[in-house]
Amino acid sequence: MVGFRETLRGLAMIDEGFVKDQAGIGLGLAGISALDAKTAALLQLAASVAIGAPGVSLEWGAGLALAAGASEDEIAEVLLAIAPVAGLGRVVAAAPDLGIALGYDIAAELEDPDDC
Amino acid sequence: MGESDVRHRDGRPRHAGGPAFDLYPSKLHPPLMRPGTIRRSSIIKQLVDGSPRPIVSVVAPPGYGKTTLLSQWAEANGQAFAWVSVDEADNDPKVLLTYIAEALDAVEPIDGRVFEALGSPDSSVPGSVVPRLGSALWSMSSPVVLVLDDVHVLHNSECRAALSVLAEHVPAGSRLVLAGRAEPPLRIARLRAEGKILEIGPGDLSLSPAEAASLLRDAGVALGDDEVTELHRRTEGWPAGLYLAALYLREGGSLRRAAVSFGGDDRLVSEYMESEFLARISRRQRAFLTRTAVLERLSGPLCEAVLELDGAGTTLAGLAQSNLLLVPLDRRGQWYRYHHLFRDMLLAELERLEPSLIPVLRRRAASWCMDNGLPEEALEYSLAATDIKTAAQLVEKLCMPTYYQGRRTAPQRWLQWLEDRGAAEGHPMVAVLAGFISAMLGRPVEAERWAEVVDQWQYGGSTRPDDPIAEAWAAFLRALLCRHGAERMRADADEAVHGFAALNIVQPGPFLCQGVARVLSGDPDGADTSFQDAVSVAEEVGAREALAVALSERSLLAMARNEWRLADLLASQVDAATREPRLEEPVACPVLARAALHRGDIPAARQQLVIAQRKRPELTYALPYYAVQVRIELTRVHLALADLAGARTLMREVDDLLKRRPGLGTLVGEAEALRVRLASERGSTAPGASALTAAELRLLPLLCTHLSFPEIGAELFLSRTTIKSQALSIYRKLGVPSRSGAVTRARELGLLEG
Repeated sequence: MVGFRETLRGLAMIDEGFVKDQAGIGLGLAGISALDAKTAALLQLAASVAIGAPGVSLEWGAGLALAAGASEDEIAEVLLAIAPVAGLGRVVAAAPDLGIALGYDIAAELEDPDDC
Repeated sequence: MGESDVRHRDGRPRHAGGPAFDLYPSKLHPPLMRPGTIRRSSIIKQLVDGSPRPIVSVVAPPGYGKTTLLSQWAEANGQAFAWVSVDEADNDPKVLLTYIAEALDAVEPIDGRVFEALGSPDSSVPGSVVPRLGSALWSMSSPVVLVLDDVHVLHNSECRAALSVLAEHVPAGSRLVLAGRAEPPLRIARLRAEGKILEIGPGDLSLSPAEAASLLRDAGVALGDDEVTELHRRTEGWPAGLYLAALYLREGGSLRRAAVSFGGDDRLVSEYMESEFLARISRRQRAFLTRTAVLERLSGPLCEAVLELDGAGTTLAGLAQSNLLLVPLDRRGQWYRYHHLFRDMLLAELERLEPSLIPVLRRRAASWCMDNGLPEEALEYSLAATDIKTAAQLVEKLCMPTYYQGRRTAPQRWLQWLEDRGAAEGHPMVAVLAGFISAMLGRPVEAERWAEVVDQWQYGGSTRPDDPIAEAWAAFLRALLCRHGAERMRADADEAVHGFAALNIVQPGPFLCQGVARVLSGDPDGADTSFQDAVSVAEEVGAREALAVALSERSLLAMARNEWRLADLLASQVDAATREPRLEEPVACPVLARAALHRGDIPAARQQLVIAQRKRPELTYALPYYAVQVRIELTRVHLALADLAGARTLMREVDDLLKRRPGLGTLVGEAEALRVRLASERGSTAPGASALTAAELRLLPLLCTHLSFPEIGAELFLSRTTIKSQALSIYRKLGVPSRSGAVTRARELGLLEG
């Protein structure tokens, strides 16, 4: 039996193996064939933003999208594309976490005194 | 060189299982104990017979006899001791760890790969050196006591982190002993909780009344029991206080004044020294003591040169005979140092009495060291004396050799010192060297800044400077950095090649740059000629890295022409050039990987990809063509292995690099063609270990340390949030749920050593 620590940690960091084995949720894109991997990954990311998923979900989703061939520009434009439907609040909230996922720490940059 | 106790390794090839630079053997032995030193029998008994805790910390203010205790332990015990007396210069991780490796090696020969990593300029300290040294310590076949004395002087974070890792690798029965004025850089609370640390503090080191009586007796002071008790009470058993009091009494001072209460308070002791001890000795003696206190190490001839006084050597010898405050550094009685506490006080006194003399004395010391084959010590005295001109000349001489010994901190510290004093403008070679070192360390912003200083010197004034050597090197630097595109690089490289030839400087570097510039400007045949020249010159001067790069470039050119027989032959030469001792050259990785794929050896190709991953963080836009070329070639290998996620990670980095340096000639077209191909390829898009980004690969070795995320962030100049996100991404890509799991998995994959 998996202890509470393993369960909580496995979920908190989206440990794909754990989620699949323990929660029975396959996180891969098995069964999707009409959509290409990149489109599917961007859709997953868009849905995560729309439901207000936490930062770690966005980082995970962005990582999958990059590996599936999406560019950073395409990932950022997901926010613009869904803003009319999901609302400005949702996309504004997601921007910093998505930035982190793409190696761009907005908070740190805003703080940086040498940035001119 | 007979004057010095520097150990030279002449005749011993570099990397052949020994240190890359000269060591002071005196740092590798406990200081010699004089007869009559108080024996710390009860603590030694506790150390020898007590519970065998792997870590021992000895922490007390100066003058408590920490070193004495450990020296006596080393003498008393039948166990093997590996000793390092740490000093300020050890704030370079490779220097400190070389001493530790050398100390262990003297006890029992350790794995030569430790010295290979230590001697290589671009090996990672947390990634290679520390794991190898840790595993060497762990696999010592018989118990050893590894003593690091004066660890409080270590402020370099990599050094401190290394000690905490070594503490985890102490095998059963062995000990790691860290002595100093402040708590050692270990996770003390955890070690305490686990019962792994024995802590010795001032309370343990204070002398008992009986020991105090014995000390006074041995120092030639006869006192009654009550007087001893009173003196002991006043000094709180502080050995240095008791000893100073004894010296004072011996000089005829009164007991009442000797017994001032200064249990361990430096300031009071200092006042005492000033008003009592120094006041009672002759002017001549006082001048000798205070003036020679500017010296890190003293020898007779050095003292004579610094004081400009014949017979100073005899004074030193006399002092050494009678005074415990001078620590002998060798058995021949040539080199000494003052006890740290004593030196601090003498220096304070010199500062008070003759401040203007201090730089003069240091300049004399520098001059003597220069004449006696000790250029690095000469440089340190020049820095201390703020003698910019001499310092700049010595830095020009020492900078690159020191860097190639694998020491990175010292050259950077020297260059920074010169920059802070505005010396770079007057000494163009300093700026050129700083540019080279920044580029080789993969620091593009710094490299660019230095290149601008050089440009300003060369083109900023109304008259063109007349310094052909610096101008040739400046052209080489400009070519190397390739800041203004392929055509400009070609012109700069040609200028460097001609300049070096005219000056008879034999260097493969300009030929390599010329070859790359020709590749970028679409002249592969011309490039091959330049690379052939680079191969000849590199063989002539024994430059292995350059040889490996030149052969790799030739092999890649042959692959591009589809001449696989030649490509394979050159690849086998690359392989030979990077073996024995092992050299991990990033440009060689894709060559060896592609050659392996060509002969169908997929495991060998994967192995090269792993090495390339370890080296990739160093390939920044400081050397933009290598950074892009290596990634493009590696992308081809990932594609051949149907690893799309890995290929895409690399291509994203290529895109970033090309944004910063768009003028990379033919590489731009190659990247575009590869991008198109990548869009239509099929394969695995699951981000696994091959999809680790350069930023994540840079973080990986630091996960082995005990640094927290904010501390790692401070090391890498990144926020805690970024580090946390990168760490999580690493865990996911490696398929593990924790930091220790990531380290274990990365070791299994070969991404980390140890």
